[in-house]
Amino acid sequence: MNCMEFRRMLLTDPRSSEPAFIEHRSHCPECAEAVARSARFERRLAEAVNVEVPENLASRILLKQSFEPQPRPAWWRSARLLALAASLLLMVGVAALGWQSYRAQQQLADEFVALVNGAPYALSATRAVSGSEISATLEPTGLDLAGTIGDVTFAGRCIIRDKLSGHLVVKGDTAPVTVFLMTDRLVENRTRIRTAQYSGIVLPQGSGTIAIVSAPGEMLDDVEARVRAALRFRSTRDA
Amino acid sequence: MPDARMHNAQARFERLVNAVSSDLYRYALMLCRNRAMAEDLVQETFMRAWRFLDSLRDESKAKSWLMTTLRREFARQFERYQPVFEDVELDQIRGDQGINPEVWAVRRGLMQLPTKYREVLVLQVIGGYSGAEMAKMLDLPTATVNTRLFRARQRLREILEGDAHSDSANERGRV
Repeated sequence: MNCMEFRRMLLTDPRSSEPAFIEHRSHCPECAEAVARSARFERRLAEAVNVEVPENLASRILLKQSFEPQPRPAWWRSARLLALAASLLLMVGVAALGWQSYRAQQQLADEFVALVNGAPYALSATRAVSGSEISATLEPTGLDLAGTIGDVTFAGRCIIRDKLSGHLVVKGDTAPVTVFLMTDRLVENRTRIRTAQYSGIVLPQGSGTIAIVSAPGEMLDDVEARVRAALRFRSTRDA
Repeated sequence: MPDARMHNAQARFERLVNAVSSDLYRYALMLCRNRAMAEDLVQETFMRAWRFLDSLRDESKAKSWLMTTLRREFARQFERYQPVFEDVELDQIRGDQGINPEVWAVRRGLMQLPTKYREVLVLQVIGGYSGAEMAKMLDLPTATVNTRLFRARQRLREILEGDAHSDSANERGRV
């Protein structure tokens, strides 16, 4: 350590116990003098910082503390943080599940809308279809309607999610009502279909699924009640 | 058991207050240069310490925790209220009337230092902290803390030498 480094150290940490600092001090008379001057300055500095403390400061702090609630143990804060993290995780989980379920419903709605749009001839058919024709059409799908569901103007079959399914059109009050009948259960709860062009419902029925789609505003309750009452399962055949 | 825990906590808190409150007050006063504000800062810092007492098991580290907490509280309050330092406020830190004039000159010089220089110097003198320890407390590189310490002493000496020159000039003027 040279004199310049020593003087710099003296202004940074005058009480340094660094060996190089101590050694330089013992060998350099000029720097030793600087140390003596510095010691006087440090004593004055220590006195200057040692300002008077207000009387009873400690008592006033303890008095104020006596009105404070009891401190919580460290584990309590950790537990609180854990609980907060768990509830956040739960919220994220619930939101993710909700989003997943919404996406699945949206996908199903899109599928049925695509099916309706894919068979415009079914909507425009006007001929009354008899009960025996309906039974004959539905027979390969493993389903049958044992009862009337209204004025059926179209009876056909289509593939929905790799399964042969029933496709009927019933005359509605203002627009044709399309009914899809499936042997697989695609939904666990009643689900609504809402698009600009169509509205409808998808509902579980036994081990199968019923979807009813029509123009917005068409009352579907009656058709739904009749389809639910009339639907019968036969044997299922894969497409 | 909860009573025993409370009793221990109370005893530990009292020990902490008795051991550190004076130094904490001096540090606060050197930071904010106002007695009332300094006492408020100390009170608030100890109330925080009481709430987190269970985490302050190591009493040797408690002092630096309190100093750091007080500094943060000061910064928070200073954002809202920035007192303008004027000579009249020197009375706030004058202390007893029988103070040595040389010590008083150093105290006055300290108050004229920029806060960043004053706080490291005061921390070193009050707490005996090393550059590395202060660097941790202030969240600064050690080199920065050492530079500030160097400049703080350098500036303080310049201020004191300036005071001495003007005093002697006044003396000559009177003669």
